[in-house]
Amino acid sequence: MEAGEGELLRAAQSGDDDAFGRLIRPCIDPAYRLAVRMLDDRTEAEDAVQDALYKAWQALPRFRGDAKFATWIYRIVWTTCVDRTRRREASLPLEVDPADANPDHDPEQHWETRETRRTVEDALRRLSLPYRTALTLFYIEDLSIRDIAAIVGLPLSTVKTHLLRARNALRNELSATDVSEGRGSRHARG
Amino acid sequence: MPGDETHNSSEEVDVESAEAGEWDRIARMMREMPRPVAPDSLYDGLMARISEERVQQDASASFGSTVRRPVRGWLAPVGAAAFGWLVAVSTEASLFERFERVLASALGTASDGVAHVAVQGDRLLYVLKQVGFASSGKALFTGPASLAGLSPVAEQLLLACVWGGIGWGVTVATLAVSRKLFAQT
Repeated sequence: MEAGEGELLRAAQSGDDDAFGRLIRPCIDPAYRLAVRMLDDRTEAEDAVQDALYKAWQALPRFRGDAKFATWIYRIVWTTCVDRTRRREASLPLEVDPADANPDHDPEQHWETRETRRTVEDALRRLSLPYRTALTLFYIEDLSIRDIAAIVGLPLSTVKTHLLRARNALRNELSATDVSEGRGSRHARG
Repeated sequence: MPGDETHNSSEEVDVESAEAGEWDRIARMMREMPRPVAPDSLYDGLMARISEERVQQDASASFGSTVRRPVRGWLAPVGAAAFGWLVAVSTEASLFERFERVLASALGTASDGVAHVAVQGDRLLYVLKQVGFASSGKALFTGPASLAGLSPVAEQLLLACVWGGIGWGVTVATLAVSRKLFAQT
């Protein structure tokens, strides 16, 4: 933990809400990204993250610093999202990617990139929640396996297994659309 | 959430070398996926919620410090004493008479004891009736209690409970006000 973060944490734990705000600010975007990937709905992700951060604020006096603050926040967000996914069965589609409305100067290349990206995103979305979470945290959020294990509350070996299986599952999903072979999803099946 | 320990590497997961290239490509595509940014309303809403909760907590803590501790401490015995006193008042002389008899038999000095206690009890009742406590209380509740078909005992209990509650509330409010005054000084 950085010195500045430690001071902010102590101040926040003693009731300084501005300190909590500054402490939590860098965590919001990563937490939101995790929630979006887990819940597949930006509005619900926003609610979930706000709920999770509110819970974090309530539980802050009990935070002993055993884990990194960011990991602790991730853990609360993950738990909140898991609870929410259990409460609902159907998932809603993500909002339209802003890039879709603002294509770059090379429409053809943009189309290829966008479609490929969309295909990967769709494939990721079809994976089960544990696999999706593992891939999101490891490859997109760039967290270590140790951190992921702390967040999801599983042993390192289980997280590694999840990652390997998740990769295979994603590869299988993508192979059906030929993206992993480098041909792009223009040739994908409907 | 940057940090030295959060940096991962692909070597943490063992893969066949033949698959590594293919997987690197997939991993790159995943990293190139759009990274949603949390709307400002999320942070603003959170801080507003916290601020609101903080106000409620402060109000609750203020109330608790003026009320809860006295209730836990000496207010309970005082309340119980007040309750007993009110029962005595509501039943007027009957309890005093009983007390006279118990005291008299215990002391073995029946005549003196009875006379003494009776005088004190009569004086107390006289004062209370003068200030209107006992009479107004009975007048207030005897009517509805009678209409409700309550027995005399239940009527007296009801009266005692109501007066006890009023006494408790007045005590708590007095304590709260006095604590506020002391805090300001």
